[in-house]
Amino acid sequence: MNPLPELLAPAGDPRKLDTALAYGADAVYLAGPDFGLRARAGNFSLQQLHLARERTRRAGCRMYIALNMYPAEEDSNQLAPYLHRLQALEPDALIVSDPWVQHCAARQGFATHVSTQASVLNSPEARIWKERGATRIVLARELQLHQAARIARDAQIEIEIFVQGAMCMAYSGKCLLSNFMSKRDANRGGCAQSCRWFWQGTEPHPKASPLSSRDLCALELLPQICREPIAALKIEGRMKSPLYLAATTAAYRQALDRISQGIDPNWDQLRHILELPPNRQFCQGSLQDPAGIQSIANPEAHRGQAEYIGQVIAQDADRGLMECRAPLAPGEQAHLLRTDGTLHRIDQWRDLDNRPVEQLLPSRAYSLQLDSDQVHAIVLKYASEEQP
Amino acid sequence: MNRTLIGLSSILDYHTLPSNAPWSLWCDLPHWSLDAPCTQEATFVELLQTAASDQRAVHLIADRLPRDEDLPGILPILQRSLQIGPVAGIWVQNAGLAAYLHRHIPGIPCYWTYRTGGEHHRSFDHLCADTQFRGALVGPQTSARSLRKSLQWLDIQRTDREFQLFVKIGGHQPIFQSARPLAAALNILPEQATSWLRESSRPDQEYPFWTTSWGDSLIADCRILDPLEVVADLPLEHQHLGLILDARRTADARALWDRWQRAQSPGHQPVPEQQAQRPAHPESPTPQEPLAQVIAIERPERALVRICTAVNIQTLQHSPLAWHAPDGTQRRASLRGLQTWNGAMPEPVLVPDDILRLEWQSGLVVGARLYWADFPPEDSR
Repeated sequence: MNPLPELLAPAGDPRKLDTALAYGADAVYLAGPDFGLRARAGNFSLQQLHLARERTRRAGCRMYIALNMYPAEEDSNQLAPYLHRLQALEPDALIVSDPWVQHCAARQGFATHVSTQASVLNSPEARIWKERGATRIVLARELQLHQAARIARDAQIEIEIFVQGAMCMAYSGKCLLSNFMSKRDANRGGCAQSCRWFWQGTEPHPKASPLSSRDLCALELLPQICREPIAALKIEGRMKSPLYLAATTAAYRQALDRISQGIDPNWDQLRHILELPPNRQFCQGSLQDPAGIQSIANPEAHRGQAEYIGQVIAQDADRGLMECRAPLAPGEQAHLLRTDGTLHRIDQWRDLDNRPVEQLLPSRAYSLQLDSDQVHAIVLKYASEEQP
Repeated sequence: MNRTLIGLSSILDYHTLPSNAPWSLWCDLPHWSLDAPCTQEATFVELLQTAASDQRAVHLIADRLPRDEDLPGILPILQRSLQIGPVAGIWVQNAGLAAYLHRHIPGIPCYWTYRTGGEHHRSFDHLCADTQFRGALVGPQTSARSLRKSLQWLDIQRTDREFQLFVKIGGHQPIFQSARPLAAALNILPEQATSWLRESSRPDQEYPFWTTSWGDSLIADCRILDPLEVVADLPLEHQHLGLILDARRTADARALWDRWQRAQSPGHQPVPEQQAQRPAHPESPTPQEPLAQVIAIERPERALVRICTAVNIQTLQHSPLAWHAPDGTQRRASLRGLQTWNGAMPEPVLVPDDILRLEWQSGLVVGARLYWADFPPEDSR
């Protein structure tokens, strides 16, 4: 049996890092102030990176820093000093796309993971990166699972695949729509998501977004994935909400733990959790078969089943404190997404003076009763009448 | 080596180009090129044989992104190419494919095709270090400033062997590559997998779209690169700079070549073709002269025509006209949707070699000629 793959979650900002750790990520990826590919994510200052390093160490979690943009001429002089500053952090690896960035990082002693932006699709290519000192390849999302496994065996290098989240319709890194339509460089962190707009072909139909992909969901493929030499499973979404991060990390954590124990996961329950945050409907990408017409998103189907209300930010024995970000009207029901992935109905809210309250208002804090350690757990409400 | 490569997918285009000029052929390796994947093997062989007999250098484009199981498929067609004549270079955008080729055909020269990235001079470090690579086509988003900086760097770095950077100065500029069945998603039938896309907030901009035989899809920028407009900022005389005029899927090679020649002429200012001097009142064409000829069809959307005779566009649009097909059949002509080749409004006066596009009409075929309807030519063949 292969070792259980690492569950790698996105940490778009310090708060999301806490969420990812609370819900069971084995590793997190994040970006510092420069060279990341998500310029509009909160990202981390150098000081925050140091704090993140401390927290991940304490949690026994690996930390990878993304430097996966393709630098332009004006960026290139900044790389050496930035790498120098990152050395003090001792990250477990840097995620890179550009061969020159990878070369410089490896030369300075960093472990390097080749980003999916590099679209690695075959074994000779993986071997080239290995010879250059890369320690892991995040394969192109166009590959099927058996092709990924073949590359792992042939190239004898750690392989990481994406299992959940939004997908580019283009090969990652092979899209300049944003550059040419919005003057925003997608490969330097400025993607304008032009593929999600409404496009028409020869026979237009209203509100078609044929360049928009459904989201990847490989949950039910996990037993198969765990039988292959896949080192890590990546959840996409440094810019996604805390609800998304909590739900996806929790679902995959529970599934992997059950599989490692030889227990069949409760797929329906885990799938329900994955469907809580907004999504573009799910597909299995190209993992089973090349992504077909069913992998194209329906522009009308973006709603999730739940809305984010807030997050537990402190706990004292059985009382937790929730920072409220969205209103909860009288009579509306809230649920706690526990850090073990189960949903718990919250029957009573109290204000900070311990008086019962009927409604929640954003930008305030409320207390709730907890039966276990739930700091950083997410509170949500169902968008419709449907409830677990 | 020659500094100008011309991308061709048709032997007819080959023969329209000046035979004594120093240009090299840049053509698709069938089933291995993204931009013109439908090149027939027979056409390809004919191009190679013609170039070989002209002692013209041949570069082959194999910029597909292959999986492991695809790789062996390149060897038979490439070895057949090598039997026809020497290959000056093979253009790839996948390092694994280059390594595979190097292992099976040692010494074959490779060129890197950047679709994205490669915007800083150090990008070329690893390519320069690999003796297999002789050069690279810079990415479509590369600025003239970045290019100049990279060329300066090459001056310093590479004194022991030739390494050349290429920039595309004519033709389509692909900006999106997908492995998904986009033709189906766009309700485009497989046999019409060359088409146009428009984004709803930009209804005036149409983006050429096409799919490959193995399913990859490409979208190109809506503006076709025009040498007259793009060469002004480029250091054309630089020893390490090569140029690519890509006539594959574009109007026609001769038109691109002529515009490139004009762009090089002393005193040229980069002005769009539409602003060039035109006669205010062209002489009426004689009845026997064709007004225009169809040079490409993108069924069922549009046709591209080359103007043969100076003519006032208003006259053209208000006169009875007829298409004369090469097989002798005649049809009443409609000039609906008349635009310049890159989508602008045509000038009031059309002059010879202007390339225009118009809505395709049933029965219109490549080679058809446009005449005044009242004066059929004596021999329309």
